[in-house]
Amino acid sequence: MKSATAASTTAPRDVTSFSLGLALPLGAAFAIFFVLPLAQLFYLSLHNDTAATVWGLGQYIKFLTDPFSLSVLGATLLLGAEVTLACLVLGYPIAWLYQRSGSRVQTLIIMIVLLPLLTSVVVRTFAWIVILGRQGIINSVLQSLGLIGTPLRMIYTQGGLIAALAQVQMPLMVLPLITAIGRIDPNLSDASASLGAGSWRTFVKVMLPLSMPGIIAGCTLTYAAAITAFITQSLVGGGQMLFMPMYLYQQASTLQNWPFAAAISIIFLFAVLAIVALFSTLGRRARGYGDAR
Amino acid sequence: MMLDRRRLLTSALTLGAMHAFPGLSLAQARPLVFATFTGSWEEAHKAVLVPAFRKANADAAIVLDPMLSVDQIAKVNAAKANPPIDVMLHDPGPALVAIGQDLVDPFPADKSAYYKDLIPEAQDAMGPAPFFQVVGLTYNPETVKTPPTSWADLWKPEFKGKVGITNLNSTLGTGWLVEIARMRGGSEANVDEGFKALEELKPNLAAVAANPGALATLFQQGQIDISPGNFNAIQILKARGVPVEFVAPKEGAIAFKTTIHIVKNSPNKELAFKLIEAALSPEVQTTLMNSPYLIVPTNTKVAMSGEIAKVLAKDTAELKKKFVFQDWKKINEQRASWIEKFNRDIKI
Amino acid sequence: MASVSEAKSLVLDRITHRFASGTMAVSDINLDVKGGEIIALLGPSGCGKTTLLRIIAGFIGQSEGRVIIGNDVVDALPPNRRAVGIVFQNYALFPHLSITENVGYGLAARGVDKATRNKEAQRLLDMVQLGPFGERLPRQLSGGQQQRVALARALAIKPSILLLDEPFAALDKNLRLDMQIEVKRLQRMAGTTTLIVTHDQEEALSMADRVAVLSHGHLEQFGTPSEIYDQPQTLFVNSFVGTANKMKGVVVATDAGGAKVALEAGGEIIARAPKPVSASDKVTVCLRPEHLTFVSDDTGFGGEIGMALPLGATVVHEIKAKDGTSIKISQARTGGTPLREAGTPVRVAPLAAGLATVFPE
Repeated sequence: MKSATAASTTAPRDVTSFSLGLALPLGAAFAIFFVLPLAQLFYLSLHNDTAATVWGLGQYIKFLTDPFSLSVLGATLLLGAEVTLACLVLGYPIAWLYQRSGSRVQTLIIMIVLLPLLTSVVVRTFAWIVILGRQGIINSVLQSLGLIGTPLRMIYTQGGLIAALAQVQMPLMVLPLITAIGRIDPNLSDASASLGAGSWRTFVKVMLPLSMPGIIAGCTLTYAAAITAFITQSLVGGGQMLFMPMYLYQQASTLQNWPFAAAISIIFLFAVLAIVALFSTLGRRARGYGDAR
Repeated sequence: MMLDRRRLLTSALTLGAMHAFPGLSLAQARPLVFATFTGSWEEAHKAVLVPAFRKANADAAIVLDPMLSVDQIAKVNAAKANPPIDVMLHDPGPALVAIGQDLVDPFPADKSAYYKDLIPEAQDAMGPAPFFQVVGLTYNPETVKTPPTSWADLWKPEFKGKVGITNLNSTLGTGWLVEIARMRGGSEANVDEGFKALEELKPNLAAVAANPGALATLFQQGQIDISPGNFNAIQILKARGVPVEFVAPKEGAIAFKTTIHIVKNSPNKELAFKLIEAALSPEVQTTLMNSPYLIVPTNTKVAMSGEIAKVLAKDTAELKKKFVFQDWKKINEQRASWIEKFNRDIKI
Repeated sequence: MASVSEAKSLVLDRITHRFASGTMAVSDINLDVKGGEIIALLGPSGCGKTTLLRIIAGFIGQSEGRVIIGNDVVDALPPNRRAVGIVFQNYALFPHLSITENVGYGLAARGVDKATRNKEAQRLLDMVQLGPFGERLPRQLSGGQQQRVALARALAIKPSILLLDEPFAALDKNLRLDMQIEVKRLQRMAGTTTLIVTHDQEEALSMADRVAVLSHGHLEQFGTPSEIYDQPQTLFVNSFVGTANKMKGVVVATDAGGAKVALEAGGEIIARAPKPVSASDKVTVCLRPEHLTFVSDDTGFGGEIGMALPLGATVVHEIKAKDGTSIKISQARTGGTPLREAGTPVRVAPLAAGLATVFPE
């Protein structure tokens, strides 16, 4: 219980006021293992030839003026958006349910949500191949029910890929949502109801804006994970669907065209940063950010 | 992406460390490092090649460090003066890249006891081929009652929605495209006919796998019934009870040389040579030819037997007749543009 | 001014509620609240007062009984259709909405257009003396200000019943009194029938027209503050409201509404008996500290001083009675009232007959 004046006069100590020395080990690791390689990558991308001897912006020009490359970038960003949306739509009710369940059900929900994290991504992805395949669970059930004559093609399709990625990334969405929804004062929905708002209005006007920090965090994590999910993309998506990770892998490993691969990485990185920045701007615009007491 | 980042990181780190601690570059006595491939290759080499090598060389120390061709190239590139690998193993594409980047020493053929016994296609001054990989038709005998006999069978209407292929990232995918082009009058320098054929194949295509390994999964799941496939990969699937059969098409099975190279500036050149000698020896090749390895030998002194004799070739003469070799120098010249074209055009 | 044409009455008719676990939360509660009254639901935590509030608001459906607002049984109505305004203990202001939006929230839910509701919100904010704060967010206000916003928000929907859940518990002691006066003023202005849930007896006695004392889910007594304080009907009320010295004894004689009790500590006392007792019953006698005085004759009972506590305006002496019971006696500190030394033998008796109350054990 805070005292009557605390809210306006004394702000809690800002986390950034702690000694920066504590962040030194991580900062150093970050510099050595991330900044340095990234700089090397950038250096590499500024060469026009595969042997990296001629300086120039040729690789960037090549990518940015090539409709095909741009379409790969677009398809990748779209895939991320679709997976994120699927995770949000499916994950929000789970997080909601979690906050309204008894402790035993909560443990169960957490177990189910975390299960994908406890298995290897390859195992999870193969499981999806088994589920979505011609003789997979879904097709067998639909066929035995007489709903379809010939098996549906689900593996190596965009829809199948979205389903697999959404399942794999679900914990990244649900966990921040559970935290955010849990921080919302349960009295607020009662207050809203007592003021005459129906459950839909309460959801839209109160719960949704107040869970925005969790939605933003969840979307950012899910999005970043979905668009870079090389293994799932190639195993469930197949060889004919080309996304940025496979595109740059192909350029680097099969074609040994490192400068172009580096340029693809840098462009991809900035595209993702732009999306993340967009997310966090949206988050900051939603008022009450981080103050869902 | 993940693989990529990791690799970039490794090379950046290695580079960084080399600059920071020049002392590390001093040649040190270390065991012979042989970068084989992962999976069945590693198993076969550990069980047969390594013991043979150690027996012949007074128990010399050797380390297997399995990794992809591209990783071998990246690692050696990052430390050319003191390479962490002594012997590399490559598919035809990467082999040419490694040679092009001046990462390998010529093989001292005049010193070799076995080099002259290799079939001519396996002889290469920059590194001989101790093994072949063979690509032919793979099919599911439970659903395909009449075994296919020709690449052309893939276009048969009965295989509508049943055919699997891989994209051109793999040696298999690229080699197969070249073969299709050749069947229709093209060549390693011109695969336009191959792309036209691919276009016509679209109604039959069930899947374009991202790598040859994924084809195995697709067979297991009944997603595809017929595809181009690697002889050794099929043997492994068969051994695990997956209903698949391999058949060499009448146009000839595609043979890829797997070449073995001494890394330039290796501190263990003599041992590296000895390891290659062991790999070329009829003893090792005979053992590897037999079950469960079924690796196609390149030494003419090895008498064909077993599954290989049954399915592929009874002797070297027949082998040369039934196998098709491709000119990867020419293929590499245009591979980038083919991959680009494949990326754009092949959507199902 | 939230003009309420006619303040609605509130009737709780034999309300009983059991939780899903089977625990009895409230049992057979009957309350008849007149339109415009302020009622306090007083009791210790766990007595069921908050459950009762949530039943009235519609957050909980009671197991048995009816809630009647005005002439309507509201049991079938969800919270958003009951027109019951609530001020929560933690105020429950919407942290992401401005003060004006908070106050206008209920009007928005009723489809009132933005201009009208902003005007109404401003009027209410002026009323709670927060006129210039409309653009701020709740966290930019102090606790007392937040509470006034919560009150304005609840009043904005012109509720038929206003429920205040421990409204002053989170406030500093100094601010609390100001806010109590303020709330009472606003309630009088709005004329809204009001229920205050509290565990603070002073708050209940000072603010409410009538007080309902609850214990363990039962209604112990419902009456005016004077009735509650001066004529407690149960031992619980007598000891929970105000302070009470409890002494054991046996009834020696009874008459209409009273009894003569022989204390275990020695001596006899005449006491009021709200519940009938008969001769030779074992009883508890309650004596308020301020109703006792030192006597020099042989009335009352004897003991010795344990400790003297000068508490500013009053002086409290703790006395060890003969049977070991600890008794407190509180006197106004008039000039020259001496503090008595520990160990001094004394005799203590009620200031007047009937100030002691007797309850059967």
